[in-house]
Amino acid sequence: MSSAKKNNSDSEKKIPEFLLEAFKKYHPKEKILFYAESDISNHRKFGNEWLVVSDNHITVFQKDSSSIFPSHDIKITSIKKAKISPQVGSMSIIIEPKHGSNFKLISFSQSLNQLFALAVDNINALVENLPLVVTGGILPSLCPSCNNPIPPELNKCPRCTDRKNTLLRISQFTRPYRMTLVLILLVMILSTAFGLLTPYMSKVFIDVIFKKDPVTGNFTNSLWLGPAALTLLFAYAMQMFLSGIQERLSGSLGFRTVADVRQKLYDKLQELSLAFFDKHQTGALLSRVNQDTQEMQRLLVDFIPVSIESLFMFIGIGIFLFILSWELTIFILIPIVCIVFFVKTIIPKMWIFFHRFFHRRSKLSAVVADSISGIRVVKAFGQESYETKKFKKYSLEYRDSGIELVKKWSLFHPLFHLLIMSGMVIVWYVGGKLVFSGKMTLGSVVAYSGYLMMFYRPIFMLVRMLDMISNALSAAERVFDIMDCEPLIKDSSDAIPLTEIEGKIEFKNVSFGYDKFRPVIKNLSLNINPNEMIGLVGRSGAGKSTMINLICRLYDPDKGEILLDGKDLRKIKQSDLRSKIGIVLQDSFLFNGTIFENILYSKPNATREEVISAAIAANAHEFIIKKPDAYDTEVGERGNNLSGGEKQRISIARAILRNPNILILDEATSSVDTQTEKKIQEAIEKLIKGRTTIAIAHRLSTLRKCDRIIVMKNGEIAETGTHKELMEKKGLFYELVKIQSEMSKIILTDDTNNIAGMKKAINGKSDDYGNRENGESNFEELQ
Amino acid sequence: MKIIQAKNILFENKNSILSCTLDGKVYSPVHCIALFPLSLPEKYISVFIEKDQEIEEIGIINDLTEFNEEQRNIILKAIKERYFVPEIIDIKNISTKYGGRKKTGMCEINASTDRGPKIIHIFNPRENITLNSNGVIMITDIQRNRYKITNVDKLSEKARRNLDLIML
Repeated sequence: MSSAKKNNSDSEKKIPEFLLEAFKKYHPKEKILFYAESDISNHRKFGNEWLVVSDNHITVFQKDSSSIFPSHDIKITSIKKAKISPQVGSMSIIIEPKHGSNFKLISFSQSLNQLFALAVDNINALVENLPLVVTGGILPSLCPSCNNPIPPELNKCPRCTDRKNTLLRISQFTRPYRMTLVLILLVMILSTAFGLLTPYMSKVFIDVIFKKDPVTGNFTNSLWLGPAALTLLFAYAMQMFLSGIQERLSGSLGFRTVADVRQKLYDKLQELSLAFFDKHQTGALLSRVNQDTQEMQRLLVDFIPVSIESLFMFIGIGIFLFILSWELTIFILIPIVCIVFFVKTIIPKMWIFFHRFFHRRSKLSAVVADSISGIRVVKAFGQESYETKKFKKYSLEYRDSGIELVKKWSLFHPLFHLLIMSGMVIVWYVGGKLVFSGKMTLGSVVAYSGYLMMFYRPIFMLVRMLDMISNALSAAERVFDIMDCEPLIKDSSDAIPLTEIEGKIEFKNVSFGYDKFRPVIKNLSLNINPNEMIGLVGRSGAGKSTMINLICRLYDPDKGEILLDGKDLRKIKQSDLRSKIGIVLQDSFLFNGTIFENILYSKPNATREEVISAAIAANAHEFIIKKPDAYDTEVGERGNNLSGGEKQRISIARAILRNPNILILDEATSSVDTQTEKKIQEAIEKLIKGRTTIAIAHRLSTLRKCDRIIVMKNGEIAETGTHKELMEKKGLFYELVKIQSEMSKIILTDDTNNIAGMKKAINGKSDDYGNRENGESNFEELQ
Repeated sequence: MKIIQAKNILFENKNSILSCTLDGKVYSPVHCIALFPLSLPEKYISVFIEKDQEIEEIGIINDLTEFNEEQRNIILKAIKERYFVPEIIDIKNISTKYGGRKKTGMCEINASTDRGPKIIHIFNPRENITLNSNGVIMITDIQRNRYKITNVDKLSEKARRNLDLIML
């Protein structure tokens, strides 16, 4: 408490005046240690309540229209502990008093969970007379520009990303290709210049070459016809040639730049800790790597070059229009303003109908794909008519959205073209009058109309491109957001390399939760000796797999430390640590490739002989040689071409090949039949010799060979001992074994009855199915 | 599955602690959750107690209409207590700071919900606004808070148009 007291005056300074006043009214002599503001009111509506904690009291204030008053005011000495209770969409602090029932203190939304987790830690520290974690206002950091809270996990305000910075970052990726960039700009300027020459040539043709001498009535400049035609051809040819070059250059620039971005993004994804992947869906990450980088490519290849080109064109043509006739240009502005308005406001409304159409189309294809790929299930349950009805519903929705789109498009499209053509009408009408008054030549009017037709494209493109570029920048921001993430697990600067190890693992008062407010491991201490085999047992959610994750340092403990041979895991080089650990998971993940490549994955420099020896030791060799392509057999996507037991044995071979000092078996023999389990058990027995082994087992009978069994419950060690000791103790382990034995009896009886029934149905008579291999399991055997 | 008849159970809420008496036995504190919170929010309500982080179900209420108003309100309050997924009843405005189409990037929804007004910030609506198979629109904001629109047809024409712009 001493550290907290140092900050008393500070915390009181930070507290809002109305809150300080309210608190002092009830406890005038007490010093406020910390406070926090919630975002849900007592009536479960959006609103605020305030938690104010002094050395003696915890007070929650709520506010109505006229006053602020306490809803709870409790003495710290009266409580046992505080905890966070997660609900759906919100959370509450629950107080466990020394006497009486637990009660809810204050509620808050997901946005504030980390802050209130700190408040709970603080309250518990006060209760236990420990130093406070934090003092003063426990408030979210606010964005300096928009004043909204910054989500702690993002570290920056997602609302206020500066788009200029995003563009700057993209341009940094183009730095190695600076020369290409300069060339592209040069080519664009030249191409625009040639493009601008072509309408002007029509003025030359009409006003110069086709002009008759007013005296003789002859075409005096007819000799110029050939060279003028050649000039026009040259201008067209150069324009096309240069735009080809430009396409090539910007295409190559885009592909190169985005390949660099994609590589950097992928490197970052590989570097990030597992906690990052817990918070992001796989689909969303795939879309970052594939679609968003693709969007960035379109930005560099299409949008930016087209925008720059359109800008050059817009300026160039605008100058020509003014030179040819500034009076006419003023008239022309009327339809141009209308077109800009149309493109900016009417066309985006049309997008709704386009999107609705595309959306329904993709929904329909999803329904078809779902039903066709699941046709066995459809047929087995006789749901053909249900599927047909479902298809009809989506098909009609798709049809209707198509009809709606065509109707709207047929209205807007002609209107848009009418606007464009009205510009031409103005040119001929106003231009004609200017010709009559001698202010303009006929050639100038024709050239003018040519420029005008060219003028619409850059306007249209510039307005559209703003949206496109904005979208692509959003994609780029999402990519950069990932690149800016820092891995939570990093090698510290003083990380030590690990050479030979004994394999002693120590947990010292370790607490950990995937969410800080929900501890999965609670103040756990455990010593695992070198070469010892430990069995981890407990219900799902007891913290078994979390312990494994912590040993592998996929996460760091929130409190306490884990030591390997006396060295804190955080001080050991990650690559060295992982090279000492071999892991066989329940869901053996195989990568698309051959069996050989999959075994080799754990030790890429292993020889073929080593791989085969590992497969033999894992009892995998015998099934591999039965495959037509043996070790060259493709395992398919996620190993789908192999059975569960086969995948499991490859996974064991992988672990054997790595020759680790620490072996982790995470429910390695679950979900396989007894025959396969026996083979896997044999392989495991060979594997564990001379290694520290930690095995999580679903089938408790498989743990009989463990030196020690640790029974976990709610993140704590409930029991420890050998299989025999724990069975004699008749505690939690005994209960678990009993439940499992009863379950296997029920399953066995059900299965036998079902099979007997099926046989009866098939043969028309009752038949004793006989002894099943799986049926050997019973309570005595489990003991 | 143990179905609880309205006539056999009596709920009480004292000092924000919900308790119930079922067949003469008192359970406290009890909690209520809707088993189909999106499709049937007032039917199939599970009543349970929590013991050592484990849930022990007392039974299931089939339909809240079987209860009198006072009892129904107590149960509904208890459900609301646990289930904080505000229902959006109107969308006043959807804006994006940077212009451009709203389906990607950050957008800000100025909404009225059954839990009061709220400015909702959504990053990349294409991923964070989903229409689930029973027609309910689920919205997840940048801080993983969830909001729902149970019946989009009840929204105003303007609100639906705004939503279409970012959803489709």
